[in-house]
Amino acid sequence: MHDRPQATIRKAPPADTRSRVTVEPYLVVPGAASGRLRPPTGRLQALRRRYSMGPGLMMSLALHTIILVLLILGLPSLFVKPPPQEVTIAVTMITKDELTRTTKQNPHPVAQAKPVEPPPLPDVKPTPPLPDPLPPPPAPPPPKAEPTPAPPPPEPKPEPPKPEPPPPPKPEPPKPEPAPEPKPEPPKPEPPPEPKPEPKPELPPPEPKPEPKPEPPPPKPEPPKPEPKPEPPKPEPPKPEPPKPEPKPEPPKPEPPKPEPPKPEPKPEPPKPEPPKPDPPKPPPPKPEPPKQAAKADPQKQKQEDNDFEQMLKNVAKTTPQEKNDQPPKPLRQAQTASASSLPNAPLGSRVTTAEKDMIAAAVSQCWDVDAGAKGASDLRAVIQVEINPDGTVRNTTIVDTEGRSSDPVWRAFAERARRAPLIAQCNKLPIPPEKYEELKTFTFTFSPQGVL
Amino acid sequence: MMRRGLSIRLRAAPLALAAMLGLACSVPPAWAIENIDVTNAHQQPLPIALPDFPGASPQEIELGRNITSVVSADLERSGLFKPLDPKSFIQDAQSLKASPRFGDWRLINAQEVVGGGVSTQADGTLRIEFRLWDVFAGQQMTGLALTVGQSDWRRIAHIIADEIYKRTTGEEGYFDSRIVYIDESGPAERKVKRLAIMDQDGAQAKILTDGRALVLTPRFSPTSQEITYFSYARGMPRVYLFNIDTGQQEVLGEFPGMTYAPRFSPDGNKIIFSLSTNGASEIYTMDLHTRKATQITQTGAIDTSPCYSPDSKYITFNSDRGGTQQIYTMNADGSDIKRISFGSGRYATPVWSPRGDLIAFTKFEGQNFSIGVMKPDGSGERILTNGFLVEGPTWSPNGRVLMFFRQTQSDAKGHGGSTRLYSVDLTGANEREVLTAREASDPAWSPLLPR
Repeated sequence: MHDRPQATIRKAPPADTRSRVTVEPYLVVPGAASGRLRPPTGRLQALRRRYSMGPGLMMSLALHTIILVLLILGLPSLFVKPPPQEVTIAVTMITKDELTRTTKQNPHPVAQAKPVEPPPLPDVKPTPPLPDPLPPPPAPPPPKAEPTPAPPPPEPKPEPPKPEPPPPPKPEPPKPEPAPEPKPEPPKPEPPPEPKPEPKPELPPPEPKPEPKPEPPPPKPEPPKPEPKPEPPKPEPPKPEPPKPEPKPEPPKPEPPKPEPPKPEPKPEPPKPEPPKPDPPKPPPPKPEPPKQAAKADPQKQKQEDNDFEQMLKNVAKTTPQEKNDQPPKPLRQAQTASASSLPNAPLGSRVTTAEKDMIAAAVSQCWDVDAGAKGASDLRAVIQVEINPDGTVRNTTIVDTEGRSSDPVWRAFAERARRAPLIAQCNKLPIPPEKYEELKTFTFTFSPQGVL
Repeated sequence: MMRRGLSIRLRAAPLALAAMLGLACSVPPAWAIENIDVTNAHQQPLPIALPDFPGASPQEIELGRNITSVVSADLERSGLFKPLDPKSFIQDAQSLKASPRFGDWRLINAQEVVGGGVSTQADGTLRIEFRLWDVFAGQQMTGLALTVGQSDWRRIAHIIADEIYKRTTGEEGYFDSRIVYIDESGPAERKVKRLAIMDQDGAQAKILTDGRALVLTPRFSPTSQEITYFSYARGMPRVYLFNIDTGQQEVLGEFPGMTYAPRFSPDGNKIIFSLSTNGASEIYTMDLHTRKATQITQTGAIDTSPCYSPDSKYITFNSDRGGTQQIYTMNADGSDIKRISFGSGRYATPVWSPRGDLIAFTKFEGQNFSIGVMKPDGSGERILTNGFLVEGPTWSPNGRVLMFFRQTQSDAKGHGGSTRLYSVDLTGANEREVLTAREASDPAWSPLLPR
């Protein structure tokens, strides 16, 4: 009993196969009556008709699908090229900047960048070099900072840049912002470099560098030439570069180039092909970048290979459209340079260092005697204005009554003793650095005894 | 008219602004000048040149020399001045009187120079004038002309020293003052103690009592004309008053017990002292006009050595009410008693400084005695000197120097020990012996003598 139904069920499948064609229902009905299975010719024709119509539809469908596929696939294919460009640009910019930062002033920038900037400004003001920077006033102080970054390799160099920005006292504070500005005005940055050299002359170490720059042009040292060419005043930045390689073998080179090259190199480099390729020094990151950009600026790549600076310049040139990316690093460099100049014993040129002040105070304190038993001696305080001769000897001293205590006999006695101290023979010649005379030809001593009763 | 005036003002405004800006630019702003802090001071005496005051006659020259010598000694003993060797002087005193050559004085590192002269007037009195010059400023700092009898030249010298001290330090001097003390003589086991008085430099000493009765703890009145002290003059220990001018002495009231440790109030109208009865000592005051006594403390402990603050508002004293001898302060009426000494050892003989800023004391710790100072609130305790026995501090009139007596240790047989007067400044660095003819103890410094 159970088998039959199963058997019938088994047979059903073949019929089903026919029915798939959608013909079976018809066949079954007539065929079932006769007990035979035979295809009805009329319907076959109808089926044929239908089949003949199917290919057309299929074709149309296929064509449509093909069109659709083509449309779909074709659109993306059109945009295939852009992706590589994006990749190259982004990668190159980021990697180089980072590399430069790390190699140049990784430690300094982080801690000093922000806090240091403010101090340098005041320093700059006092600096006599200001007049020099003025000529180049190109105004954009921030850009100057950028070119200066080149000096970063040797710390002293960064310092000179600081003095320069000071000439325009206001621009300095904005240093962080300048980053964006510099790019828009590549030429401007160049002028700033000039001022930098000027301040350097003031400082013993920096002076030598500026001088070499003028010289290099004649001999045409490879590194110097490219830099000076961009801008006569700029020659300075190149100078810093040569020294950099010496102190800092590889890292310094890549770093300095970035800041400076961006502006000057882009233009000069293309015209100047430099055969030598000391690229090896460059870290791996730089190499990958050039290949990406090769399509656009292959000649530049060759030039860049010669010097790290050149490579940096190329990168900058390529990325110029993407100023945004480049700018961020610039501000960092500026901050770094500023911080460098604010370093303790740095040749700020304008400011008197704490160590120098301590030496002067120690010299005069030897002759400063107080009446320790006076009532309130520990609270007494006197400001004495001092006039200094160029040889460091004290010419005159004056009591400055800042607290309106001239009628207090104890204070007056205290102030008079303080006023005498710098005039006493043993303490009359103060250890004033000759280069700081302009700032210290008139200054004040504030005498306030500690450790008295 | 109004518009015209306004237009003129508007036109003038820019000019005024420009002028102000120009002026501002021409003068470097104070903030633009470098400043260097100097905090490491030294405590060295000030070099001062004191050429002998010239005179026309040999007597005047001698007086001039003596006066200069006293002035120089006063200043040198203060520890604040260093009189220069007259042999180094380039300019002579006679030309100095006319006008100092400051360059010459700078060459010998003198910071101040004193010029003057002595002349005898028609009435026989002396006219002494002097000028104090600032060598580096090239200016006169002060100058005086004094007329005095020839026998009072020492006092004139002290007055000149005070003027120099005052002008140089800004504080009153203390040279024109006197010391009352106990003159001691005889063997250790039977010492004779007499009341004596002298100048602060030890000169012109004078014995006031005959020594038949023991005298202790003398104190000057604010006018320096009277002395109060403790004596067994009549067999009973009592507080006495002594008039320096008349030589009269009187007992300060009649009390059932011993009165001791007397001291004048700052205004001189009261005497504050201790009265010992039934094993306890309480602090009393007596009005010198009404002779009425007022009890200040009532604790049953030993409260003694009372001393007023300069403004008479407070009293400091020592007491064992806390179990050990310590220093306390209280209001003048005896309220708000506060202990102010908390160091190790015992504290005694508190004396309020004439400046009001410190309280001097004697401290006993172990086998050592010391003299120190602390602030009225008990802070800032500093020991100025110590020794086998140092005791009885008294303030100079300006509160800058303490005088006390020091007793050296005698040998096994009780021989060799002596008692002398010493002075020490507030820094503790300038301790000097005050020379007296014999042994001396219990000094008391007078105020500046009235002029």
